[in-house]
Amino acid sequence: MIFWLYIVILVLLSLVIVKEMFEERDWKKQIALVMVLIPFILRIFLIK
Amino acid sequence: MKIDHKIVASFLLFLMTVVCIVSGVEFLDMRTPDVIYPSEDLTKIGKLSDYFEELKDGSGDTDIYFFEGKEPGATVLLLCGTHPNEASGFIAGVLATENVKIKAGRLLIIPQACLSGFSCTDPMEGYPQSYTLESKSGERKFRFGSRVSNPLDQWPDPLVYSHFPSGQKLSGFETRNLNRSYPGRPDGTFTEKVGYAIVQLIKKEKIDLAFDLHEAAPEIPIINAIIYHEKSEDIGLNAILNLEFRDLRYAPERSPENFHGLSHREWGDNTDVYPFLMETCNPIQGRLRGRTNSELILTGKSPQYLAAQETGKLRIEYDAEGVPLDKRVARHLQGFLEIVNSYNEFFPEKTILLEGLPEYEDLLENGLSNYLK
Amino acid sequence: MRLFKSLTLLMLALTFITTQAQESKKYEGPILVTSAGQSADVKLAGLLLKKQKLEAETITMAKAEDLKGVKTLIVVPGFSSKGLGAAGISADEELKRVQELLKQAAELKIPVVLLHIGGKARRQGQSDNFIKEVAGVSSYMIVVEQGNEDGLFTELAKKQKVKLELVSKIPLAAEPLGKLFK
Repeated sequence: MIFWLYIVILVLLSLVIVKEMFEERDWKKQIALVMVLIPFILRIFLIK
Repeated sequence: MKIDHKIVASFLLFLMTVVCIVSGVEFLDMRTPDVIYPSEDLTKIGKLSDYFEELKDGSGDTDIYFFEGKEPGATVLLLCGTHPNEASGFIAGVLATENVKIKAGRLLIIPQACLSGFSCTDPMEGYPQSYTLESKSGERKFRFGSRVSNPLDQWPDPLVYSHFPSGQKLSGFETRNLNRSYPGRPDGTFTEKVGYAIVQLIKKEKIDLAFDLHEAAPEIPIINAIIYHEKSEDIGLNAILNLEFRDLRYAPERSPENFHGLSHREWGDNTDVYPFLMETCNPIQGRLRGRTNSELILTGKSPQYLAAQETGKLRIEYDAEGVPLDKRVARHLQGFLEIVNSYNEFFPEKTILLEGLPEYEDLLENGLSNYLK
Repeated sequence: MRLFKSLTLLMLALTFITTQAQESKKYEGPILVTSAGQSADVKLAGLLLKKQKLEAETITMAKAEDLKGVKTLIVVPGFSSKGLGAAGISADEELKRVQELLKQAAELKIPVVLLHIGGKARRQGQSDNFIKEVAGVSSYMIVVEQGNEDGLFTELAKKQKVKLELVSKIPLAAEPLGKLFK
């Protein structure tokens, strides 16, 4: 149960990060955001 | 020219997708099972879920190879791959499965006890995902996994792991460590369920003698040791003396009564089995290892460890030759054989007679490749 | 001249016989075997004595009062964190126990035999602390060569002016051990 709760948290966090990416105007910060997103996506899709 | 920040975001998202697909394909490659070709004496291949239904078809449902002799005798369990990043234990199990012949008694081999751990590597360690060994049929690839169960099977880790039933406190990471999860429980975590199933197997199959094969970093004091439960002491010490005659040195280590969750403690306390755990030296697990690649798994050669050894701070035999996988597997198999012989001396009415497994010297001379199908 | 030679030979022979007699008299049962550092090597020592058909009591954590009636104390030095964990004591507590035991043995004039069979695995660090402690009062040392690669035991035996018997393998330690009591 706690596993799926954490996955839901990850999905929500990922959506917030994507939203933030499209609002952020500094490309360096956009890169930092996308780097954070990679492990989140891999975990959401149960790859890693 | 200034590019619109939304175009940059879209491009980065596309780039991220590519990275996820490329790395995902590589990560998913670790789900491909290792292939083992059992010897002709194989009676059947069972599953761990035969002892605990809930594991059925899941990533903890590992194979159990049964070898049954014509004559009755003792039942022995050879459990390998508890920690999938300890290659010699796993390969010793593969080699035994592919070569053993049995005359009396029963031998059960689990080459990949923590099957889940074989599907990923430990984060932040830079470990290779696999290594290749020469065999009679050409090159064979084997997975080099994680010390613990895959987080996809058990996540998140608690800050502090409380062992059941002792209540002993360990770091949260250990919650996925099979060798801290015994005797396990049916309603526990994924790893506790695997531990529970193994203990049920020991009970149901009436295992008399059981082995758990491991490796550890050169700086760990229990390198090249045989760790035994107090009830296995006489069998273990007798074997250690016999191994000495072959110039093979094993330090005897009695299992601490107050260190819970480990096979040599919990199997002994919770079942009738005589448990043993053996360790070999594996530089890739150490903090000083330097370049981390599959060659290090195979050769065990680390210039950093050699330099460290020359300072006189290491307490193991380590030289420029390194600690090759052949030698580590040979040590495990010889230790296994001598303990089985010792058991036979103590219980002549219930012996187990094995053939086909190479002696230490033969394995070193002929190499692993001659014993892998 | 011939008489002088014969007398000299006779005297030498007598001295040899007396020394042998003294040496064999020095070590006798009851034997107590204990550890210094709680490594399981102490159990192997018990097994070696058994193979030599020598009766000995093994108390891994022997205390001063256990020396009552004992005629020879065999101490097996070697540090093991697992062993200490099993015994539920710290390294300092173990060192204190060993010091008290050795002090009592000296007071009771019980000869102490140092038996080091753990090789490299039971050397350096904490193990060396226990080795030096035991060597300081021992009257005989039997050591598996691998543990003496740096010559520590040779040096300690020289300093203590006691005999050091080096053997190449653990099972080979049984013979010199047996000879002490025969």
